[in-house]
Amino acid sequence: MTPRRGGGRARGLIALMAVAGLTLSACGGGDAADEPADEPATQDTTADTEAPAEEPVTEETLVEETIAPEEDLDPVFGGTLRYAIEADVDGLNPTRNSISAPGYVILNAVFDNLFVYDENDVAVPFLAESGTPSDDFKDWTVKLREGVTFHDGTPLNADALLVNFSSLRSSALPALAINPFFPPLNADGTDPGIEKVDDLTVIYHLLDPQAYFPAYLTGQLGMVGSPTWLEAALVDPTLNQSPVGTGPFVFSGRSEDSVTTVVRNEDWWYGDVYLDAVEFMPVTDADLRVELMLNAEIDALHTTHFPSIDTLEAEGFKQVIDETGEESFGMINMAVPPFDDIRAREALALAAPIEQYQLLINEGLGTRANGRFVPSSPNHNADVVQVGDDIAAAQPLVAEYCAERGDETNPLLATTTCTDGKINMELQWAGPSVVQSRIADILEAAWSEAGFNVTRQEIPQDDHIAQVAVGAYNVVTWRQFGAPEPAVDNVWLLCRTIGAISLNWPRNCDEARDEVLLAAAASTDPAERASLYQEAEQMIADAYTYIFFNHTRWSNAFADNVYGICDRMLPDGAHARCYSGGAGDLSTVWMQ
Amino acid sequence: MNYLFQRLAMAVMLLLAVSALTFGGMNLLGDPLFNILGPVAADTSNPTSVAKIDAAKEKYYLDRPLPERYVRWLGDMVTGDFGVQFSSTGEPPVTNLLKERTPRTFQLLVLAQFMATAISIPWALIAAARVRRPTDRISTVTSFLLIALPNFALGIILKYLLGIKLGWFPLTYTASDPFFSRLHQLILPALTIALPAAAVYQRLLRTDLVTTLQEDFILMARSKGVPRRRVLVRHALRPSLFSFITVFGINTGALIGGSLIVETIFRVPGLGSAIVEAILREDFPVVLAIVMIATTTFVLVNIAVDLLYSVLDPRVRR
Repeated sequence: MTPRRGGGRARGLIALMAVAGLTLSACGGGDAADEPADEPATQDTTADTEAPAEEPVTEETLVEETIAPEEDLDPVFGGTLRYAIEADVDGLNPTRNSISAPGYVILNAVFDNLFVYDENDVAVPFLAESGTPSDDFKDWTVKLREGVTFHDGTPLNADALLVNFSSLRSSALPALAINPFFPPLNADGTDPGIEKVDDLTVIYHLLDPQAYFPAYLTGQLGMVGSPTWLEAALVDPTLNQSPVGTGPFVFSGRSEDSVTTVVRNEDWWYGDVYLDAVEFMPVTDADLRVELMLNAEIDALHTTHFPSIDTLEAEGFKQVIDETGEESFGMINMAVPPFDDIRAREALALAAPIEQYQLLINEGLGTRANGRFVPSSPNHNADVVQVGDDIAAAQPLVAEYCAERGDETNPLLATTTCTDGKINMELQWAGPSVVQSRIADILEAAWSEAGFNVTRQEIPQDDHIAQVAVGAYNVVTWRQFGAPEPAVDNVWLLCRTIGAISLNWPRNCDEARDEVLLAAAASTDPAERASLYQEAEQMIADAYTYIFFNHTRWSNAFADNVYGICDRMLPDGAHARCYSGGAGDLSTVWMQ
Repeated sequence: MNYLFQRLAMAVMLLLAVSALTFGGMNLLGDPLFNILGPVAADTSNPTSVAKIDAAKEKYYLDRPLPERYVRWLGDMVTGDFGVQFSSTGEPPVTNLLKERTPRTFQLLVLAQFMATAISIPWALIAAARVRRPTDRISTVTSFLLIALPNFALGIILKYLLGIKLGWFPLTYTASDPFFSRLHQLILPALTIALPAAAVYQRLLRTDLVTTLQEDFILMARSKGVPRRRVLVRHALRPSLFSFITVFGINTGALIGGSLIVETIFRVPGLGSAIVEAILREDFPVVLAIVMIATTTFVLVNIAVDLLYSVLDPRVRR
């Protein structure tokens, strides 16, 4: 994923074969929105992508870089990079806080991962020296590199991994994404999920065969913090704001909602770091981020706002664009009436104004999604097409539902499920947000025509996600999926992640689908995996719990004087995956 | 001295009333458990979650009667302890937040009041000196325009013209920058607050100046040959400042309110943006602390204004 070095001002457009991801962040909100993606991301993702129904997209439209030439330029030391991120984060402790895309931008500077994705989306050792599976892929032996120390001088060793794992397992939200894949703690408090072998080696013991377990270690689970710091943070949680890792930059200071500063790690175990410092500035307004860039007040930004991406392109900024990450969709809670009935869900999906969404929200610029994977992905099922724009087909289903179950109770609204032949439902989204309100307007208009009484509910994002987690919703707009390694996304889909607090947000338990997903996670045969994921895609579509709108388009944009973007080489000589979603690596970046 | 004690006693009563109302309102309106525990707060069917809920209630005294909680909070508050934030990611002391954010808002408001004063006094003097002439009429229209324009609209206009088009001022505030850079970054937001305030001050001062200029002592000074400019500045200005000073004090409260929006527009992470976020998150300790700071500031400024009256006119003390 190396930037092309071409001539003049012309922008190189490089089709990238690699699609891998970084952050799995489930997020209330549509992608076209300029929404702070604050939420409970708990893992890394890989990127698979999806395409418009009528017009299959090529990978060129999914991941691209518009990087200006850099030939004959040697990196220079110095400079402070100002990077505008779309939101601030609650905390910077990967074992305690839920990390979303902006969080990963910051944490990637401070922490190294045990594994990272290479340009072919293969998770390869980085802070780890090796990762070796057992024959059944249920046990993974991870050996650490020798001689690495954290920024506070604490040595990196197996004990450090144990402390990290323990801190993660006992956390409030991140643990929800980890615990379903490991055996529960023993009665005596010991953890059967991890075992120390020697000073530099541990074994992770999994519940299921995971042929791609290292992919998990490219994300929050694989970010290793200083055990000294983690133990102190358990006593004093304010330390969650002052991370200590082994990464290319050392945390320097943080003023919440204004700036988080990291400075060069002069002794980074992996080599030179060029920038003196990086200042991460949360700027929630997408237009303002672009204005700041145009005014040269910042040197880099990330955004999912289509018009902003357009402007940045028109102004000739270097951009790394990635559509291989999350999808934006409407999500339906099938645990309670009325949407415990597939007729109600199907009617909602049929009436969804997909075309209007593309035109009015994405300004015709987005890539329409039919599921979790893009057509170029081997996992894509071409037979699965997101239904929508068919109000006439939805109306009879509504009538049939109301005739049969209209007297039941919608517990969320405390009303009957139907009134005057219309299904009562709540549409919830994270706000305040102009774009999200527009999305709600469009959805409400179409669904009302189809026979739904839509009650609108705009609430702050934290509450929104918490409500979804505990199942206090009918329908929400959401952003999620897109892990480069699809097995990582199983956490959103398996029956075992349904509970009082669920990560299987729609609460759709399908044992047959679980079998398929777990089989795919255990398989090393690409053809078999593809077939299994295609089967799972059909199962997901058949349940009508998601109404897919489009793939999130992330742009990471840089000023003309910023170089070295996506230049990291991995220990095995391959290029690291460049940007994934909204986050990437800044260790090789330099400024003139 | 007696006058000062009276004013201080009234101020204490006012602060108690505001604190009681705010404390009661915040605690009646929302459920802070959600912010402390996240989704666990709603997981009442799970014994582990219920134990956490009970522990949090006990820890934050949420299981105690409201009056008892108020007295506890008040006792801590007067010793400078505002408690800890209701947060699922730790328990940062509210004072940490206040230490970080209060100076920014105070810098902004002081700069705004300074600018408003610096603009309004010469402006009023010019308008009063040319009363009912074109200069005065233009001044009147301009001041009404600035008063009528909402500060979010003015902020956006100033940001566009002076920040984006002319590039004179930065568009954003960066807390890590050196002091003078931050001061430069505060000019646009301060101007956004200052211009409408200056217009109000100017209208009042101009009117009082026009009245004062018709007094006999002014006529006497003029007849003695004192230059017109000197008459305005040395003789007419001081006795015309009563309304100006009154509104200056009262307006402090409005400026604190206005700073909520202006801080958001210009991305200044001060008390304004903190209280908005705290209200949305139902982070009561933060809301209460900021309300008390704002109220105390308002009260102190108005006490200072009252004292200034007595300096300007000793008859007030009687």
